[in-house]
Amino acid sequence: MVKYCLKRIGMAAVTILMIIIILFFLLQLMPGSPFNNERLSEEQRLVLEEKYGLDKSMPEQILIYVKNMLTGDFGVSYNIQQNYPVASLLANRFPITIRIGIQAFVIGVVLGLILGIVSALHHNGALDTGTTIFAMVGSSIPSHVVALALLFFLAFKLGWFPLTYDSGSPFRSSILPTLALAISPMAMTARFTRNEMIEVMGSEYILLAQTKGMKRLHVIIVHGLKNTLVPLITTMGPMLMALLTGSTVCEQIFSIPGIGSLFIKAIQSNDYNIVITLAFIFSAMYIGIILVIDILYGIIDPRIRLSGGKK
Amino acid sequence: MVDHTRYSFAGNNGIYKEDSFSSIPSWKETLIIFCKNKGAVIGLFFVLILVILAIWGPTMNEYTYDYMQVDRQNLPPRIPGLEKLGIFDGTMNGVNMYEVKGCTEEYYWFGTDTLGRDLFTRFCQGTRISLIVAVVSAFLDLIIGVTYGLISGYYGGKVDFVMQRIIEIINGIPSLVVVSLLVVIMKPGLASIIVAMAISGWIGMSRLVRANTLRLKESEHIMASMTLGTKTAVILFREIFPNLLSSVIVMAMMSVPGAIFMESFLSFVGLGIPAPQASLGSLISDGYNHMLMYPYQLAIPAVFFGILMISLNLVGDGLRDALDPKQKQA
Repeated sequence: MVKYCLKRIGMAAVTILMIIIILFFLLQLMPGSPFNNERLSEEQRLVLEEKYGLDKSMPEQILIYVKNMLTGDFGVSYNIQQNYPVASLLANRFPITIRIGIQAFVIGVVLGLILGIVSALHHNGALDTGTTIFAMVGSSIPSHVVALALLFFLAFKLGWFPLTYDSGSPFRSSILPTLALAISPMAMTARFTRNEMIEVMGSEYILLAQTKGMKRLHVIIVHGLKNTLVPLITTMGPMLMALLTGSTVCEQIFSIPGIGSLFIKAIQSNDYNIVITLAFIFSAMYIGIILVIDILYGIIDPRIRLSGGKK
Repeated sequence: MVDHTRYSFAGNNGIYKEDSFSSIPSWKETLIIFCKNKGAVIGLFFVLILVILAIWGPTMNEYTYDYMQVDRQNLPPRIPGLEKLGIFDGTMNGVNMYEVKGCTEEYYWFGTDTLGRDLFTRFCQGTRISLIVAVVSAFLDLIIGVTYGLISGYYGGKVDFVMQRIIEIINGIPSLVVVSLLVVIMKPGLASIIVAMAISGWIGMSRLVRANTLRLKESEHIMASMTLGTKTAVILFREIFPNLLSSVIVMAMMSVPGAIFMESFLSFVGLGIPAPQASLGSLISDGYNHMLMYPYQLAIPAVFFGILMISLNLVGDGLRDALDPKQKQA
């Protein structure tokens, strides 16, 4: 187990390192540079280059860059808030994004599980058909279309919720974005749970448990659900990925001051330091989540651990 | 020893009967399974309608997608025939905008946008661009993924190890990040969007192909070819690949809605198809900017976008069940 964990952690660390290096080269490729201003004299340019360490050799620059990224020194913003450190720009926005993301994920997965179990127990009933259709529609329609519909009908037409994020009442303003983002994980979980649960409930050990006279609820939760949850963990990676992409657009739609809307704003205003930093943070979050899922899966299912990785 | 006198030969009277089944070609069987799936057929119907609109839609009326007529701004939808029923009659808040603007003889089926462009033509043009982006990037995914997966799976050993580590690193970067950074670098445009999506999208395909290649290369007919000294490229593409075709088609079909979604995401971020071209994503994004004043500008592309996504997923599911029942949905 320890060996498996170390291997996974090592892999994740190498991946993060590679990503920083890739991002470094991407930064070089970005169109336009703060230093090719024609009004700068040759001397001024040299002074600037020395100040930002651009006169050093490439490997040295990479080393400095990696060190800076890992210690949280992401440089300064070019356009959005000039010369303001990116790290402090993020500090205020990060918690909002994380809070809405977690709300949506938890609500989505819990409701999805309930829907999935109920529809599996009423296999081929009306409720099951309804859930299947909901799951199909919910996992196909992108979250930004859902967000736009919610915004238009619930916020604009009915006026139940604020049109834009109101930092005075963070909970009320976060309901609509949470709903919009929760639809997709909910649909995915419901679909997966339903299919898995039908298979599990048809298996022989469930029949045995039932013939032994166990209570129905006990059989469903202890024997059925437990075995359904294990494969569900593997679907959480893609689910969180979809949530990340969705949250970027949803933040833009609901004008939430989170890191997703900052990412869009930074791309639109060519603020490359922020773009690269957020790219790094998104990747690091994603790698971290995948790492946790892999390790969790290794703990639960010894076969994965022995074969040394999933699939 | 068996005492043969105790047994007599039973013969063939009535015990053994040769059953002959009429042979149905496999594509026909696939078609039959596909047609039994109601959702998939409905999905296919809508996809076909949208494809037809994408191909012939822009020529169905006299307007072009980029012709701006300043005095025809923000006209609501008006469709001949339906207007008598009180819907799509060109009224907004009870006022017939066509009369106000003095163009009662004109019919803009989906209305016009803030620059006075015909939204129906733009919608068809946008569907066309979105479909091109999705289909071309799915095709590129297929080429890269299949080649990579075949090589990685077939050679195995060190080659496979290195190739899989590369995949793990690429897979560690969220596609949101890869695609948006690449488009920033290459400047937004049809080609750069397609290339960016192809670069980030082939991992799943290559994993599928690799897993199947690992299994197939142990089978007798591949072993026989190897022993006979068949060229590796021939083994890979003529002997292994045909066996994977059905799963590869399903996988490619499944990646189409994802690509359409990614394109619409890019449009929303401002990295989409540059104006005056349109895509479904950019129409939704434009509509969003005016949704409070002119909701129809958002509603029409958004509803069709939703229908297209659902239909494509239904068709993908139907194809999977028909072609590749073993592949479970993730």
